[in-house]
Formats: sequence, C-alpha cells, structure tokens
Amino acid sequence: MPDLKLSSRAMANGCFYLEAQGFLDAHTYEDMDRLIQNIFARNCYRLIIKLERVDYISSAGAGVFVGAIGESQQNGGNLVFLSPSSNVREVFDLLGLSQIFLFADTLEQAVRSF
Amino acid sequence: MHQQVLRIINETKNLSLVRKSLSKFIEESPFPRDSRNRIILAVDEAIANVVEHAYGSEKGLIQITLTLDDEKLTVGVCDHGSDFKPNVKEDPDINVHIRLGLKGGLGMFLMRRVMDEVSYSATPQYQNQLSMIKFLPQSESENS
Repeated sequence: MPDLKLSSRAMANGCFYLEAQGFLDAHTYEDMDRLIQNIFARNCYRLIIKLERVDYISSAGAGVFVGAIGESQQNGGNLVFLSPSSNVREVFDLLGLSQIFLFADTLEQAVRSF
Repeated sequence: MHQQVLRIINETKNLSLVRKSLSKFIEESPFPRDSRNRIILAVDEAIANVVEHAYGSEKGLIQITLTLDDEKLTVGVCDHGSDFKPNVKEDPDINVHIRLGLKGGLGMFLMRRVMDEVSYSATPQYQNQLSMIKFLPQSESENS
C-alpha cells in the first residue's frame, strides 16, 4: 500500500470531495498539495476533505491546508474537514487550527457548512 | 538506561521508518499513549527539517540517538550538512500563514510545544546537533 492514497470527485452541488488515507507527512504532502491546486485550477474552491483514515499528519501535511484555505476563502469557498482522525485533530489542536478550520461529522453537514 | 542509534539517508521516504522505530523504542516507556504520539510527531518534524535543509540536493547521513533513562527521553539528531540554525524561539502567527498562503515553518513550533527542551549546537564530530528532551510523567510532576 502506498504511504498516502488519495481520491477525489466533483459533487453535484459545486463542492469537491477529497479523501485521504495513510500518512500525510513530509514525504507525501506534495501529492495532496498538487491535488488541491488542480481542483482550484478548475475554479472549484469548496472542498470537503475526509481525513478519517489518515493515521499520521505532520506540520508538512497540515501546512498544505494552511496554505490552501486562504486562496479558497478569497474565492468564496472554504475547506471543511470531514471526520478527521484523532491524530489529525490533535495536530490541528497543537497548531491552533481547530479554531480556524471547519469540521463536520457527516457529508450532509459538511455541504451545509458552506 | 536504554539507547538506540538510527542512521538514515536524508530522504523523506525514511521518515516513516524512523517513526516506526521510535514508536517501538518508547512503547514500553511510562509515557502515556497520547504523549508517545506527540513525541513521534516532534522527532519526525526535527528529522524532516534536516532532510529538507541540511544537505541541499546532496545525499547525506542523519544519525538519530534515542536515550531513555529513569528521568527522561533524550533524542539527538545529528548531520554533517550546512550550518542550519532554525528559529527556536519565536512562535509563528498562524493567521499570517493563512493570509500569505505559507505552508511551511510550523515544525519547530510543534517540536517546542511537545518537548520540554529543544536546543541546537555544533559539535566537532557533527556539523549540526539537535537535542530534544521529554521528561517522564513522574519527573514532570516533581519538577513542576
């Protein structure tokens, strides 16, 4: 299994759904960054990012979202994190991101967050 | 005292190997599980910094020394790369990072938040040596 597995799909309501599985660290963060930039290039700035199966995230991984959220918001969108794992939540907490990022427990709730 | 020395080449693919070795090393320590996870994060951040900055595009060796005694875990990260002194004092402003779209510069902050002591020095044997200490839970309460 690769260190990080990513999947994504456009949703009917103009949102884009991303799902990550594995490690989001200094080795893999560029894959996530590339994926988000590709979605932005399609003028889609409302991202729902499922991190439930991300076992490990470092500052490099979290930094991708820190770097992306401003561009998303400046274009009328946002990043909503769907069911992040406890490890992800802890790193977001340590970095002070839990007060800034939006979170949702279900896809419906995530869609309503925009 | 329990000690283990790890040597890796400065490639990011080796980070997960170090995390796995460190996880095993502290598995039986008195650190609670959440604390162990944070220690692994801090050490990962330290090594990722060295991988990114110490040797440029050249291959280089990174030596990680893990030492666990009755009071503390000490982690030494050494390299022969260029002189690299990260900012060990100032905390980043996360709102500035977001406003400017900055992705990096958060690792040292995490290291300092997690570990009790973080310091850099240059030694005759190694160009850069980072030392991090995390006191065991009972030592922490005695110290406070």
